[in-house]
Amino acid sequence: MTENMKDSVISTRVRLARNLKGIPFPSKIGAGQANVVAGKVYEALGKGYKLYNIARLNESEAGALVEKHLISKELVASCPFGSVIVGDDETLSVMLNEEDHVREQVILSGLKLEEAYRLVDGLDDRIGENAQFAFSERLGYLTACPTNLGTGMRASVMMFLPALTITDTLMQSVNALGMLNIALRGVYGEGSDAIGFIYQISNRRTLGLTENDILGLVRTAVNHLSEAEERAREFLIATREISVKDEIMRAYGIAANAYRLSNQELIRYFAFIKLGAYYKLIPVKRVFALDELMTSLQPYNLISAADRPLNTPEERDVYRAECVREALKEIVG
Amino acid sequence: MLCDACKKNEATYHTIRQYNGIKTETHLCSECRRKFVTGGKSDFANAFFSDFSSAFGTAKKKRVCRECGTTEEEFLNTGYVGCENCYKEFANLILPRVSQMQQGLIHVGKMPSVAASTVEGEYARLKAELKKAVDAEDYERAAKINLKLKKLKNESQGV
Repeated sequence: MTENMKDSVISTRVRLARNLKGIPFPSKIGAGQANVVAGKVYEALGKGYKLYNIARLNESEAGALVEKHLISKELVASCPFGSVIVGDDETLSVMLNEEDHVREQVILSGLKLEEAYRLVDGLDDRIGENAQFAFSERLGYLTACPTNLGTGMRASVMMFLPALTITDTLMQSVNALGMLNIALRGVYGEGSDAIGFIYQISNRRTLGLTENDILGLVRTAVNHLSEAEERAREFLIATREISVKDEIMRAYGIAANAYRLSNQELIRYFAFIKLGAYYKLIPVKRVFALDELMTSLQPYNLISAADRPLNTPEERDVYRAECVREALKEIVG
Repeated sequence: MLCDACKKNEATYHTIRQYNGIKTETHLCSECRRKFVTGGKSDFANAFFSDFSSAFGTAKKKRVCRECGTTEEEFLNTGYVGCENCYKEFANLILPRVSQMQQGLIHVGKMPSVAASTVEGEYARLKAELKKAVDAEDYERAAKINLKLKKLKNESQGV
């Protein structure tokens, strides 16, 4: 892995969709059957895992899980029997009764496709020993939506692609991946509106290829985009040196000194600080620390970690700025 | 940016798809995205699955899954099935679509330990692998898989 890949790849997530044999899928499930699903899966995992019933969480507890990407917004918004099992280190999680009965997932920082699959595969084996999955020899694992049939697997890599976005060449690079059937989605907005320049790259197809094939396709796409991003960064600094440097140093100056900071500003300034680290304009000791910090400063995580109640958006913005000022002293220098 | 479907709420779910140089962007608010996911009839869902409806427009819309009660219309509107039996019940609707969006119609990946332990399951998996090896013109691998298949066949016949 080159230095730059470490910077353009934020995290890797692999998830497997499964349903239990003989129980209607979540869109047709009843409360009792949903409990059977949750019970069987939780029983299989046991020690080292916690089960949360989504209906019993308050808004900020559920929101914090969404911001950590441990559960989906949909699980909170519209799955009446939804619950989640989270591993103690928050790497492994299993959503229950969302779109499918079981959504097993592993999130690791950096590009670790094989490792993430190995972990989720082990989790799947353990659950599979205690519960029989709906499976057809022809179509593989049967899922609520046919787009997930077969392996039920989605391997996604979160990437930071500022130069491809700014130079407006991202779609051109994605287009070159046509044959790989890769999906690209903005995490905080899309295209030129992608304030954090953060995207999720994932496989589109799940049936007719093996899990290893999928990991290979996604890896190829990620490598391709990383290299394209590196070239775009060279091009960017060569053609717009002054404006790029100015934007980076302004972002750093504001983030390090502002008295209040909205979440949108945070996402934008952190993106430019990371770019500044790449160009060695800002001496950032650990780029991953910036990514971790960003998650911990998202609205719900901010509220739950704060040392005082944060009731208004303004109070949150002031507290966020306070955390950023402190954290940047640690991370930069 | 406003939601493409309702044109009222701020869009929070964005997708860009690009096929053969043609870019399509979809921007939805969580409400409309949800409607699409759970099957509330939205213009977006209609547009997305219109090829289902047009291709099978003449088919009867009254078929219902005996296991979960999902109707054909419900499936066409949402793109979601209600249980494993729906895949049998609506096979003629689902399979053409699946073969279009997936890489073929044969699972070649992981199998649950229960299914993999049956001879039939192993046989089906090896057959699929064989087809893949032949498609990839990897004849060395194909020959190896063929041997395994023969062995399995002999074993199951008690030879």
